[in-house]
Amino acid sequence: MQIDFERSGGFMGLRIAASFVLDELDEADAEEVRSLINASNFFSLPARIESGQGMDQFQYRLTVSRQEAFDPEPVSHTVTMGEASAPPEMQMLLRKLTVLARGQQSR
Amino acid sequence: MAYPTGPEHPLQCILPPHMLQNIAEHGTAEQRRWAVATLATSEQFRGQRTASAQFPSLAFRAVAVGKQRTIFNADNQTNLPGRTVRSEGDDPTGDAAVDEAYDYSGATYDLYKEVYERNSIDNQGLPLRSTVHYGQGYDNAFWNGQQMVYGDGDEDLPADDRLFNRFTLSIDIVGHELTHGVTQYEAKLVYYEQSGAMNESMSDVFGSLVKQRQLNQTAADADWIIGQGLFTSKVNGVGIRSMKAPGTAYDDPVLGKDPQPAHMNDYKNIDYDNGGVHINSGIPNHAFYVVARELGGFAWEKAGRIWYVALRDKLQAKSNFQDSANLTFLVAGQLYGAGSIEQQAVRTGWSEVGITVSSGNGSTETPDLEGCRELLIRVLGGSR
Repeated sequence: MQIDFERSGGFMGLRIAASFVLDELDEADAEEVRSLINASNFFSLPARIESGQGMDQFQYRLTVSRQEAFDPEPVSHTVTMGEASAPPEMQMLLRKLTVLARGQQSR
Repeated sequence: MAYPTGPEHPLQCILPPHMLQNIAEHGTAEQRRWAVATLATSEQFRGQRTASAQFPSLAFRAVAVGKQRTIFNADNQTNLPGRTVRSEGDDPTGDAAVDEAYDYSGATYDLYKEVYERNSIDNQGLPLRSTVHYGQGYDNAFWNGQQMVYGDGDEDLPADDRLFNRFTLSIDIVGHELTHGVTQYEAKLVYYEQSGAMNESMSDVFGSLVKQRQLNQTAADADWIIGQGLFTSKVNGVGIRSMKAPGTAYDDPVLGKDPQPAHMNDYKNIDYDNGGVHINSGIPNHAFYVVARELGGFAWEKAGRIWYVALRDKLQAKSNFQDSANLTFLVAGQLYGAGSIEQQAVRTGWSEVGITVSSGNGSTETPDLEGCRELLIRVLGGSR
């Protein structure tokens, strides 16, 4: 499973972008990310979740690509969303990916 | 005869209140209804509440008086607004985030009230609501359409990994967020590409002016940094943005380099951050800085007033950088005289970022004025 993550906007306007291959992460991190992706029903979410009113909120773009045993072909799904509109499980996933992305950028 | 009303109609932006009052008092029944509706709609959508005080008989809603601050604590959750921890007139709590949100929203209110005679965000005394300690590891501050919200930065990470302090720490951040509210009630600049970057720039401009006024600094004394103190010592940077030298605020191995351009030649067409609203805002930010530098003295007095009047009366939802240049130039002429030092400074400011002021057809003012005249002739032509 591969994850392409991007966070932009916010008061600071700092863009953070990173790509992860789940199997290459620490086991605990990989399990947590996999569990949050499942809990958020990521592959069932619409491609765009509108942000609603407000300024300086984060914007996220998240792509998850997978080919599990039960997938006849590779599956890829992208969701673009504002932070206020992201479901609770997604909020946890986004925070986790932000920390991982920052760690990747610092290496 | 039916007269159009609504927030988009050009008459609302142009007809002075006294003219509308005349029509409301002396026109035919239909003209009076139109004038009252126009005044009311203008009041509601444009925030020019001074008209309310002049026409009490029109029964607008009551105007609140004085600062009305309330600070809430989200206790590191994300439910808004959270529990009330400090209300107007209460003593300091000892919680730095709570007390900074209280003091700095007060300083922002004071700038708008004492310098620009504006009564709070909506010019009608809207209570100022701020929530602090929002979320966990929340490295942001935002305006959600109703209130300000501040995170604690990286409080959830080990000390050695922290990049950001609490977001109430910089007074200009508080001024920035409150000004998003002012823009929401006035020009309503669409939060996308150039109009969105103007929205962001307005927040940086007045955020910086709140700080400069608090410190009693002239334009020459001010650092023109947005978010000074927000970075921990782990970051190589002086703040989030520099209005004096966009693109130089930070250059860090983790965060990268400040991406703001200072000139139209470096404008960035990008598909994130709502089309780069926090990035291309460096261009109008720098234009404002140059105007303030040219005029000298306290920047909130002349440069700030020109920008404020443009935001309140001239800019529209889709105003781009060129429109903003033309309209600030227009306002400078109206406030200080055509060809005045102030108007020349505005021309210089925009010129230094690569935008040539056009006071002719390029101004969004022209078609509105013509539309206004036409409709006014129709209105007055049928009266009495």
